[in-house]
Amino acid sequence: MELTIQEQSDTLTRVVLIGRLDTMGVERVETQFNAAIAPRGQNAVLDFSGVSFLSSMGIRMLLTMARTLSRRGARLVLQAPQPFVLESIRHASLEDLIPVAGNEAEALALLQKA
Amino acid sequence: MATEATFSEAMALRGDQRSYLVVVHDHEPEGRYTVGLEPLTVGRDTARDIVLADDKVSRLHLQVAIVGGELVVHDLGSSNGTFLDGRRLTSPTPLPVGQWIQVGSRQLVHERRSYREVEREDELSREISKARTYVEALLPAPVPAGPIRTDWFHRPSLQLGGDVFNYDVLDDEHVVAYLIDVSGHGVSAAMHSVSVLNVLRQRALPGTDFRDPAQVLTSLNAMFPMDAHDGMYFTIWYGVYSATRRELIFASGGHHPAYLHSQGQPLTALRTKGRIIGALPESNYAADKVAVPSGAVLYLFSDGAFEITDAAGQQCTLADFLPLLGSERAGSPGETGEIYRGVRARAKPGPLDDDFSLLAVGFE
Repeated sequence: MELTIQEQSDTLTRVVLIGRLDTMGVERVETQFNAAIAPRGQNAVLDFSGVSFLSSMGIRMLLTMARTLSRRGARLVLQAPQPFVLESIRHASLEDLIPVAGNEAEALALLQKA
Repeated sequence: MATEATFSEAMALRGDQRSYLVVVHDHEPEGRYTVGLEPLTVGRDTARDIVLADDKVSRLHLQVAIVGGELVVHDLGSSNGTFLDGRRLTSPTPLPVGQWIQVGSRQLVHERRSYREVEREDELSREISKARTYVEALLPAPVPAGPIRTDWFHRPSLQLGGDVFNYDVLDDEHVVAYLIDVSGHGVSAAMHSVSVLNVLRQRALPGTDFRDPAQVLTSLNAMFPMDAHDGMYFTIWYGVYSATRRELIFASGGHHPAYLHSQGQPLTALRTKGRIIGALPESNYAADKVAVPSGAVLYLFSDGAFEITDAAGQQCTLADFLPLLGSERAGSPGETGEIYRGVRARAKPGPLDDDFSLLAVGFE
């Protein structure tokens, strides 16, 4: 599991995740993930196109961050998740809390709408 | 020479570190044996030091000994052989630490660890084994015959898992079935799943009608916020069958659909939209209902049943799992075990990635 911080501006944090977000993947990136997004408390876009699997522990990591940002009036958007990952989000009924965008433009539009 | 061998053998046993052979069957350790100064014999005969109840193992199959500080395996002319890295052993061969030999359907793994470490792990294993027995004792007995039959299969990916399920008679008219999947697995997930299960078994949700799935999920969401439970959440599928109306009313808290199989019909996905339990206090849950034809079978399962990696390294999905449901054996005893073996056969070697739970409820 790899995490890359693509952008940290005054209004937005953009992070790219690649690999399996299973228990081991979460253990590997969670500290870096939290450190990159939580202290800034700004809107965040996660490029999920390279995430091939999302486990319950991965959902927990995303959910915890979405709630943290929500308390500060910011949002977390998933960009371009693979179908299997999107299915996991839908089964958990978390699309309102963790909205999903097909591409970068959609992700930014979702954040502006909020 | 004899003196040197004895000295080096004694050196190998000195201090805290010892060699152990761990017998593994079906990905689960069966026993751990200390390899000391005396050689150990392995075979099917009960007179052996390590007895393997396996048709492919000879009565006296092999011997292991510490020779020159190494653990050496000597096949004693067994019928079906002893294999290391896929090669049959034809002469005494050192078995390095961490490597294993194949004997029949079992693996014998060479571990080198401190005695105290092993003692501690054995003690922890015993405690976890007791906890697993406790969790499994809470699961209901299968009901092989009658107007409502049940069959299930449960296999945690670690020694303890976060899946539990139950079915129960609510009153003269209603029967309930549900499956709970706590995020993660291991001890903490198992403790949380048992807490939730006991609340449901004891019907200890204040002011809640247990015949109303939406009410039950709303009450569970209020009782188990993830902030108050170490960040753990769970998913649940909860259904109540009315015998007189022959209908099933159900609701999901972040769980994938359950499926209803009826003879000659495609599987029906029983899904409702409802968040995972504990995510947010203001979550809403709504129920739906479906008619239950005679001979129908309801399948509830955890995501560990389908979120597997196959032997080619590909991620499997719910769509890959569904064809295993509703076979000719649908609703008969042992069907769920057969489905597990179907999943197991497709999965990569080793334990499954997640806990596997499958419950089938058959209606007359």
